Amino acid sequence: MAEPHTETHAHAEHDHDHKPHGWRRWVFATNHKDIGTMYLVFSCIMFFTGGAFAMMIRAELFKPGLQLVDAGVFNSLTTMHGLVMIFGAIMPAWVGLANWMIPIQIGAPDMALPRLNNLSFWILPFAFVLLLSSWLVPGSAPAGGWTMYPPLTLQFGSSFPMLIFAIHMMGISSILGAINVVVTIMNLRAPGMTLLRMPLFVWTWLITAYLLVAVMPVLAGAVTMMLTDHFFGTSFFNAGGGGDPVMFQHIFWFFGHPEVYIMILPGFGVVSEVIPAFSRKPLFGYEAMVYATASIAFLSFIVWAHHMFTVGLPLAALLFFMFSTMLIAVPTGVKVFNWTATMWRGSLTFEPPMLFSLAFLFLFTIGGFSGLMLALVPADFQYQDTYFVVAHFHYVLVSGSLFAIMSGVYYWLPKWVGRMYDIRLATWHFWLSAIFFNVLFFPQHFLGLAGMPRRIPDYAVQFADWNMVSSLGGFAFGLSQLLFPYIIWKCVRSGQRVEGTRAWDGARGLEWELPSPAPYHSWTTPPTEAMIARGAEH
Amino acid sequence: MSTGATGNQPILTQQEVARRRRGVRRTTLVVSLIVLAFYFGFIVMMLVRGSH
Repeated sequence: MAEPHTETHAHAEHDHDHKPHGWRRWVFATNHKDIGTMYLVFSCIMFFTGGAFAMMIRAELFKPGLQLVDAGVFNSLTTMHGLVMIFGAIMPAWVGLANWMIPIQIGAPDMALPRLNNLSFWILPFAFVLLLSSWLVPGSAPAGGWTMYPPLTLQFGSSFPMLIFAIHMMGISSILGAINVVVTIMNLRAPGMTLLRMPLFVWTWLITAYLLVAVMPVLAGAVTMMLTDHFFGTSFFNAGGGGDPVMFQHIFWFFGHPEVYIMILPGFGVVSEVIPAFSRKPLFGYEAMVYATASIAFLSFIVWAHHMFTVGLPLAALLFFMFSTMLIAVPTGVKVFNWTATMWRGSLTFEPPMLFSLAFLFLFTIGGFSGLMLALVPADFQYQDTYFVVAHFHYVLVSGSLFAIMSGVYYWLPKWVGRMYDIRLATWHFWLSAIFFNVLFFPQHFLGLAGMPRRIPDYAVQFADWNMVSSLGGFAFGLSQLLFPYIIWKCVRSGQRVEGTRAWDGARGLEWELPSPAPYHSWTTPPTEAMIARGAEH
Repeated sequence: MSTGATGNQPILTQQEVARRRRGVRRTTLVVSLIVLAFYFGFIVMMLVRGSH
């Protein structure tokens, strides 16, 4: 366990910034900031890997006909894009931010289980090397979609066990990370940091960690059963042996829907930190935000079958899942109205973190509205497996999760490195991202409503124009993301030094009580009551 | 270099550290048991369902 100072060694602080150097610092890392940095770097690499797959998909769809890849490779591209972005880019980015921010936001010296933290990170590169190397085996990479539905997925060649083992490793990594977050928040809060004084980012991560603990083992169980179906002659999901392939869909989506909230709830936390900071006002309705987050998490467990309305569910089930899904709009609406009320009569400024949070607010809400359309059973029968669904979940996951991650990184980067990044360039990054994101994904609503199916390499000529627009938006969006690592690199090398503890004048919270950059070992003595109270003025 | 707050920080007593250590162990155990219950629970559920 990471321990705070006690009376016996509290005066030895001068010795505390000693850190290991060279490769040992990273391979044997137990410091939450080092591990957070590794997660974020890993996530960035995976983001560009998954992004390269997306570019190839959009290049193939630039015009009708098969241009660049055959249908099998195209299916592998869509599958790998989904797996890499979800498990390799978005989730590790959140774990990285959690590692960096949770201990310093609750006044803890480190995560509660630092060695476990090291293990949960180092599992990930092996998992993704395994997954990505499946491109090289006979039969190429998995091609049944990130949802891995049997019986299609059971028919893969050599890539099947690689996929299953990689998923198991990613699951173990996520579970260990989640255990660490729960244990840290429940036990290492500074004296005086009560649950309802915690920053919203910590709250949303605590709830996310409980979701992870509950649903990642379910995915692991599902793929274990698929493994035994493939290699040991069981028939869990094999209809030929008396199994039920639809049952896999139930189990998968029991994991899969909460997984969507695992990717978005920490984003709610970031936005709840950023909007008050750049509105120079406390967050409106702090407790309502906490309860709304918990409600969304609870509801996420009882809506899974809205992903499978067309498999032939009984009418009662269709009605139940339709209404329970629509119910999610209530706590989500509470959040959107609270963020808006926070800005009301605030002293607003529009630095890059605020711009990304505002884009999140507008665009995620569009994703929410298309989600409500998909929740309607009769309408869903039309939208199922069309590009409308693709547009919907990219509005949720790109302008939702990804923009919130960008907002968080731009907000806390000056605290991490003690230097300010190039605001002008970051603003360019925002506008290019926001504009080309919409050029990329908004036309996909039209394509879906016109009937274009998803996961196809070729399409009828009536879909050509909007596909071309979408692809052009995709290339521009992808290229504009290259600014992000450049801005960070430039900031680390030559950014202007941040004076004092606060990089933003409206920022509150314990992280802004620490010097910039945050010391290698922070809160070795817990923060004072006054500091906690200053940060907890909601 | 300062490693945290400056001024009148509270210092954790040995009892408080011991209490935290027990809490960490207990929470880790409980959460791990929940993980195992969900993992094996779903597999057992499928086995029971398949045997009918």
